[in-house]
Amino acid sequence: MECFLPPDVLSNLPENVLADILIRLPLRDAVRSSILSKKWRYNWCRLPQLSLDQTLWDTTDQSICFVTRFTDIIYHLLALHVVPITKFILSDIANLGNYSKIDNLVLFVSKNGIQHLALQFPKHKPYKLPSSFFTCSRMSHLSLHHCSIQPLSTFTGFSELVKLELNEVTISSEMLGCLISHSQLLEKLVLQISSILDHIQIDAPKLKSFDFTGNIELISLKKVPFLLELSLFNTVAPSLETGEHDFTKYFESFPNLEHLHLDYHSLQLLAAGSYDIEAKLSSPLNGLKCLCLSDICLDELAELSPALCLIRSSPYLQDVQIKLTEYFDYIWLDVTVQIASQMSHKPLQSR
Amino acid sequence: MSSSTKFLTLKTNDKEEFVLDEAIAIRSQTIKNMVEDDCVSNVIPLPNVDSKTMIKVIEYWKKHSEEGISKDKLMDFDKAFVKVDQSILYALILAANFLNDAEMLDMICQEVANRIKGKTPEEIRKEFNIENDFTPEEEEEIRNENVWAFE
Repeated sequence: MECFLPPDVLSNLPENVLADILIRLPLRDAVRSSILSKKWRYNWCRLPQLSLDQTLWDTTDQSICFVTRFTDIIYHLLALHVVPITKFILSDIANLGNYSKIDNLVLFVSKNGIQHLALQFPKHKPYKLPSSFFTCSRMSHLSLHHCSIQPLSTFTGFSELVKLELNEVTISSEMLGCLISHSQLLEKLVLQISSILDHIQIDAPKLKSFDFTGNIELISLKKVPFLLELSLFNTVAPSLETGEHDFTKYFESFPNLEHLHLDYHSLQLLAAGSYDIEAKLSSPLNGLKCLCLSDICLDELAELSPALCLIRSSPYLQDVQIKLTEYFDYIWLDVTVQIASQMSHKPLQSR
Repeated sequence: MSSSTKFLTLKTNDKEEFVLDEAIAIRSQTIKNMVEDDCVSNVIPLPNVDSKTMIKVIEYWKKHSEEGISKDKLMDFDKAFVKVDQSILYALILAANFLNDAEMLDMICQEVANRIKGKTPEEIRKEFNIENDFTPEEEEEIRNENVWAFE
C-alpha cells in the first residue's frame, strides 16, 4: 500500500498564502486549478489581480474572431470574480480590431478601486485612454505603453501615485508636468518618450528615482530633496540656445543623489554651453557614489569639463564609468589622465 | 562586534532556544513589532515554528544580512535553499507567514508556483497529493464553466 504520501498540505495553506502562490501562475493555470478539488474550485476567483495577454485569446481556430474570444474570456473572468481587482495588467495585445471592449474594461476597473494598472499596446496601434481612466483615484502604480493621454481639463492627477512609468505615450509637456506635480507621493518615475517635449518642471517631494529617455529641451528638477538615482538620456543633440540655467546650480535641490547616469546629449544640455574647465558645483554632491557617462564623444577635451566638474564636486565617488563612442577611442588616454588628476586623492575604482 | 549589539532568544515549539542578533531577527516583521512595542521579555516564544525549520530560517536570514554579498551569490543561495522536499517547503512557508517575512514568503511561494506551472490537473493532484472529490459530472461542469482555460 502506498500510504506514505504526505497529507495534502497545499490545499490547507492559509488563504493569503494560497493567493500569493496562485498570483504567480499564468492566469490560465490559475483558472485550471479550479478542477483540482472542491476546495480549489473558486480559489482563483478571490485573487485581487488579473494579468491578461495575447496568449490567452490566441487560438488556432480561424473561425473565431479575436474580439469575440477576448470578450468571452473577459466576460467569464469578471462574472466569476468575487473580489475587487486592484491590480490589472494588460500586455502584448495585437489582433484586436478596435479598443471599445478595452474602454469598457478600463471603466470597470476604474469603478472598483484599481490601484495598480499596466496597459501595453502595440506601437502601430496606440490606445486613447477613455475618460474613466482619469477617475481612478486610488491609483498607486501606473505603467502605460503606447497610450494617448488627453484628460479632461478638470483632471487633477492621481494623488496616491507612487510609481509612474510612461513609454512612448502621447502627452503634452504641460500635461506631463501637471500629472507629476499632482502626484505628491511619487517615488519612482520612468519616462521614455521620443516625441519632442519642451521644458518640464518636476516637483515631487518624495521622488527617489527618475529615469528619462527622450527628446526634451530641459528638465527642471526643483523640489526633489530625496532624489537618489537620476538617469537622463537625450536622444538628440540639444539646440544651441538652451541654457538659461546654471549648470553649477542644477544639482542644488537634490544634494543626496547617489547614482547619476548621463549620456552625452544630456551632459551637453545640462552644461548649457558653459565649459569652464575649473568650475565646481555650487554645493558638493556628498552622497554621490556612482557616476556613469555614456556615449561620450569629444571633439575637444574642453567638452569633458562638465564631467570633470561633477567628479571634482563629488568627494565620495566610488565608481566612475565613462563610455566613449567607438570613434573617439583615440583620445581615451588623454581623458583618463585628466580624470586621474582630479581624483588622485580619492579611493576610486574606475573602469 | 560593537557593544551595542542586542541579542534576542527565540524559543521554538519544541523548546529549543536560538540566540540571535536583534538586527537579524527583526527581518521578521512579527518579531520587529514585538521589539518595537517593547513587549519582549527574555525569551520570544515562536509557537508555530519547530527547531528544524528555524535553523533553515536563520540560515536564510544570516545569508541575506551578510554585508556586501553580491546579488548573484544571493540568487544561487536562494535557488539551493528552496530545493527541498515538499514537507520542508511547507514548514518554511508557514514559518515565513507566521514570522511575516515578506521577502522569504515571496521566494517560497514562487517556488511552489514553479512546481505547479505547466502541469495538467492530474499531475498537480499527484505531486501535491490532492484528492479529487468531484464526480465526473461536476468535473464536466467545471470544464464548461471555464472552457477557454481547458482548451
